[in-house]
Parts: sequence; C-alpha cells; structure tokens
Amino acid sequence: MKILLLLTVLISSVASGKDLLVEVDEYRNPSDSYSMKVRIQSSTEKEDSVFLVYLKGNDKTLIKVEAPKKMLKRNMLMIGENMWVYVPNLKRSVRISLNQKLTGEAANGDISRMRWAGDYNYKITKKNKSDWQLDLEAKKEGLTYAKIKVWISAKDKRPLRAEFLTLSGKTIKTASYSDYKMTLGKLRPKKIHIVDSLKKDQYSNLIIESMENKNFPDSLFTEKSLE
Amino acid sequence: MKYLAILMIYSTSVFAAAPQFTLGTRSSYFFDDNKLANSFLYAQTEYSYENYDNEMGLKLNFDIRAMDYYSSNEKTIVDPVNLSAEFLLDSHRFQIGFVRYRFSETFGLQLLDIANPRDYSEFIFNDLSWAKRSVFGMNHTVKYNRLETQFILTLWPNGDRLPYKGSPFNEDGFIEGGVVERPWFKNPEYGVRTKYLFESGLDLSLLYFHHFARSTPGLNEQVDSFGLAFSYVHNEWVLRGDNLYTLSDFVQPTFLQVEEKNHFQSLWGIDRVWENFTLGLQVQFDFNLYRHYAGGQFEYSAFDVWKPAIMVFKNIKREDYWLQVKNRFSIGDFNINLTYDSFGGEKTDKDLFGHFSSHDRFLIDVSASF
Repeated sequence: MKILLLLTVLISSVASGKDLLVEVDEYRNPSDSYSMKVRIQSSTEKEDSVFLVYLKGNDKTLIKVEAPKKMLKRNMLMIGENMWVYVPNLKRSVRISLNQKLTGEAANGDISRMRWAGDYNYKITKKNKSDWQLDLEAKKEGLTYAKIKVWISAKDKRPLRAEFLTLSGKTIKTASYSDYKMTLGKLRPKKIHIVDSLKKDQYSNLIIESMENKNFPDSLFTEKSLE
Repeated sequence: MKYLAILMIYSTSVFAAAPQFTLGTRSSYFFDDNKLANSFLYAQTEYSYENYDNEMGLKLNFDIRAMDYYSSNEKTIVDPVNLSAEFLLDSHRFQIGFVRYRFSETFGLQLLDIANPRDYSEFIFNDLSWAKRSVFGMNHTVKYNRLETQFILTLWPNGDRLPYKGSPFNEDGFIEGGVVERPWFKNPEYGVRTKYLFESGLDLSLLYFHHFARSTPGLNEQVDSFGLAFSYVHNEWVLRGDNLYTLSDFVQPTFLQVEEKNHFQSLWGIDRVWENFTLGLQVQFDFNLYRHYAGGQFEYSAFDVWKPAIMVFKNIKREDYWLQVKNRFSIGDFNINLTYDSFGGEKTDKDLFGHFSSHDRFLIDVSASF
C-alpha cells in the first residue's frame, strides 16, 4: 500500500511537474527578459569578479565582464546550448561549453542559464514537512550539469539548496540559496554559495547586486556584442 | 606629434566619462640588421556607451589610436579603431562609422579577413589589433531565430599601409611605402554574410564580398570572393573551417611578381579552452600558390602576472616556417609584451615565410592603461 501511495505521489508530481519547476525558477528569474549584476567572491581568487548579465528567455544570454581588470573584455555569449567567449589577447571569439569554469567554483552556465524548466525533466523524490527534494535530469546534451538534486521549501517552493551531479551520479558541487530579499516584487535569493565537492574548503559566493526587467532586442544576442 | 598631443588633450578632457586611456611604446630589434626599427609612441582611448532602456538600443563606440614614429620620418598616424554608432531594434542591428569587420574565428593567416585593409609596416599578420585598418562603412545585421544575415557597405575602403622606405621590410625601397590613398565614395566595397546555427550546434555561414584584392598589398584592383565557414562543438573540442574562393584574384608568388588567377584557400582547425590553457591547431591550404601549412597556437593563462603564448606555422612539405613566442606581463596598470618572431625557409614562389628569413625580430611593447 505504501509503495502504491508513493507511486501515486510520483506520477502526480511528474504530471503536474512543469508548473512546479517554473515556480521554482521564478525565484531566480523575475521575467523573460532582464539584466542583473553579479559579483562572485571565490576562496581561490584574489579579486572579486563582477559580471553584467543580460538574459532573454532560457536560450539567450550576454555576459559582460566588469571586473577584475585582467578579465575585462572576456565577454561571453550563449545561444541555445552554444557559447562563445571573446579572447581579447587573441582578438577572436572562441566557442566553449556551458560547464567550463567561469571563475572560482562557478561554471559559465551558473550565471548564463538560470532556468531549469525546459532543460530538465524532474520528479519529486521526497516530501518532508519543511522541504521537498526534486531530482532533475537533463533533457539534452551540452547543458551545464547532467543531473541536479534540488531541495525546495515545502511552503513557498523557493530553492534552498542543490547538488550538481555528473551523468554517473557523482556530485561535482553543491549550492545553497540564501539572503532572500524583496526584489522586483518577489522574494529572491541574493546569495548563492557554491562549494566544490572534492575540495570542501574551496567555495564561491554568487551575489546578485542588482536586477532590472528590460525588454532586450534579439539583435543584442549576436557575436558582435562580444567586442 | 601634434596629433598625439591633440588626442591626449581630448582623452584627458573626456576622462570624467571614464574611458580607458593607454599610453605606450613599441619597438622591434631586427637581429640580422642589428638595429631597432618600427619604433613609435602610441596613445589610445577606448570608451563605449550602451543604453538598452528604450525601445531602440544604442551603443556608441569611441576607440581611437595615434602612432607617432621616432625611428623614421613617417607622419603621425591617427587610426580610428572603432568610431561608430550602433542602433538595435528588435531583430535589427545597424552600425555606421569607422569600423573593423570580423569574419573569422581563426588565428595566424586570416584568409577570410577580406573586408579590412592591412597595416603591413611590420609584415606580421596575426596581431589583428595592430594589423587591421579601419574603414568607414555601414553594417546591418538581421537576426531571425537562429538565422543571422549581415549586409555590409563600405563607403571608404581605406588603403593598406605599406612598409616605410628604408625600414627592414622595404630596405631597398622597391615600393613607395606609406598609406595607399583611396578616395571616399569611389569604388565602394559591399557584401553579405548569412549564417545559421543548427540545433546540433553546427554554425554554418556563407559570404559574398566585392572588395579590393587583399592578396597583394596595396593593389587598386577589385575582386569578388565567396566564402564558407563553419564551427561545431563536439564535447569540449571545437571544430572549425574557413574556405575562400576569389575570382580573378591578384596573387603574389614572390614579392616582385603579381599573377591574376582564381584563388582557392581553405583552413580547418580545432580549438579547446581548458581552465588555464587555450589550444588551437589548424591546417591551411592555398591550392593556387601550392602553399600548405600546419599551425598551432597555445596560450597559458594560470599566472596573474605572466601570460605566455606560442604559435607556429610550418609548411607541410617545405622548410618554410614562422615561430612566434609571446610573453605578456601585467602588473597593475602596466603591460609589457615581449614577442620573438622567427622565420625560416627559401625565397621561392612556393614559400611565404622564407622571404622574411632575414627578419627575425624581438618586439617590445610597454604600455600603461588608466
């Protein structure tokens, strides 16, 4: 009977699942088109990195580097699962993958691809009184992570923490979402604390300094914007 | 000297708007000649303004450089690297002004880079920030989902800059040297490039361009080129290719020969970017001049202060080669670039770098940015 009940919960969760993941995403994404200023403090980097990120939908992102000085102009563009970085020393843009390191423990995809809905299938694997556990599995290749375990608040579905895994199920890093503050009409996490699973003393804090809803033209998301 | 002074004054006056201002000097020591040459002071101001708050996005670019030679009597050169305005509306992006077009993601001998004249004063081709010259033109890009089409009209094609008489690359004075003059609104260049990013990640582009023949420096003949370029990401590796077919091109088997013939060039390469290491490997074919090269470029970026890079091009069948070792040091606002270029090979019509075999050089570039 217990197994039947669990199966019912699982099936009903999957059936209504898309809305839940969209609900979770809405905490980190105020609208379809917005910009945000992100500061990354890393235990392994001397200087903070600051990025101005322009996002439209789930498949178009332009990242402009504002600091540190040595990284200036190393701007990035994401279209679909494709990503380009401009290498100022070489005066050319080079294609890279989403899961490559951005700075510290943060990967390119950690700030360029902020929505899980659309990219991942999921199921609810555990429902505690205070939190639910979702297991996400990538629908396509080339995403930042093959699998993600996400813990969300049972009360308001806000993301609390996540584990990012390889296809074989090995945990690469963990993240916790905190400092929820009212921004653009909703409580949103201002801080994402990412820890390397192999080197536990290495961490990065992604601090969202500002957010603004803006309707960016599609033509902003071209390689021309990298220069 | 007066232009450099004007630029410096102007830069200072707009400093409140926080542009980046760079002041530096470059000089090359040529081993065979045992002398310093191509020595100059330079000043550069870079500033851009972006506003996407309104329905029409606006980007203004102000990037200008002045070079004042102290190793020769050349006039001060003011180079408008990017003085342009860009307007963004929905899927349209329109740019007008002094610009440099970019058609390729490769390194070394940029065969698709046909839309910009070149600065041949140093005859070293890969450092595009110095080798490309700006033109005045209009550039309209239309993006529709994964399809992107770019229309280009160059109203002032600008001319190549040739090595000054008496400089190591023009010691005998075979050519006049200096900037090749090209009048405004006469013989415009134009073309279209369309590219499509497939779901698989294949980025494929086709281009047509009507332009001045760039295979022979300083020539005032126009030709038509057709190109095909692609890049594709497989796991962490990027595969890429550039192909260019130029009808009735003017090619240069040796420095003193020019021949008119259809010209087909092809380049295939792979890239990979690791955390602290960038690798590029490519093969490059010129099917009409029978010059085929294999090349590699490696950059190591783990150190905060020192960024070493090495690039090598070697003719697949012949001794003909180009080796370049770069060391870039960044200490606070100061940058020092130390570059060693070595060329080898014979001076026949089958060789390219061999013609420069007596021009091994050590380049030093010291600058401060504020």
